Amino acid sequence: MNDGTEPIADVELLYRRIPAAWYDLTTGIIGELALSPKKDRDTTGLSVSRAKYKTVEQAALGQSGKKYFVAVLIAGELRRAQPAIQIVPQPHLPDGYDASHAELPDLTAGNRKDNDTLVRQELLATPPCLLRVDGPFFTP
Amino acid sequence: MPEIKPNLFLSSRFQNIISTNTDTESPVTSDTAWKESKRLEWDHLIDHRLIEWGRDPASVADEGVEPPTGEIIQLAIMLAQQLRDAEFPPPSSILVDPNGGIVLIFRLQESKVTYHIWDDATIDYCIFQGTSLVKREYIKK
Repeated sequence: MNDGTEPIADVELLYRRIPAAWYDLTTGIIGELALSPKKDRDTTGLSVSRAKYKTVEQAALGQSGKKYFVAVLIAGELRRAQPAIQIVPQPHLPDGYDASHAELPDLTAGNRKDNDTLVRQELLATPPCLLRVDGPFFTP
Repeated sequence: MPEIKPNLFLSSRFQNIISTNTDTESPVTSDTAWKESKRLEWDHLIDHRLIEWGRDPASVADEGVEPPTGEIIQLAIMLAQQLRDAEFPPPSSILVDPNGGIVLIFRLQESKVTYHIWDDATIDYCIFQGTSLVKREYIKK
């Protein structure tokens, strides 16, 4: 039985929540800043959610009263990108267990200013890594 | 506070990318009006975006998004003023990064130029062609 520790298949979809300020609804352009590692949080990798364990509405939940979009990414395209973007299951979190949680260990707080990280952010924000953007979703 | 000299580092390639497409054949008055309208756009961005962020950091804060400090906002204003005075067209967008930095983004078809004021007060500019990073240089370390 799967519990979130099994390897991520190429056909799996991944969700990344995006604050409304970083998505231009008129042009459909995601700001690559939405895919930047946070220095005090993404120490082991940028967080994403596995679609097989979470609905897009659940992935969109954020701060109360705020609006979010969700970037839908294709796991296999991340691995095929140049430079490649690895994905690892990471259900064990400091505050509990989340079977949907996965990380992109090539994008971390430590390398957030590296050239390769900036390029990987661009790749994540565009097809074929990016399948679509869903939303907006309002967090009550 | 250190002076930022963005123009010192601009390659001819960058200047081509960021070309304002000003019609140099038209009467001088048209060119002047065009420049004035762009200057007003810059002023609007500075007054209603950057200064407003400084007044109300909570308007930027979000889960996973740290608002920029006064120092970072001040650097962004200085940079914006210098780009404005150098007659650059206004950016397509000005955004905060998740760590309290600020980014000025100029989108031009397949190209994109970014000026990033990082949270540690360093500033770089990048030129992307599609998803490829073709140039990156620090203008303040």
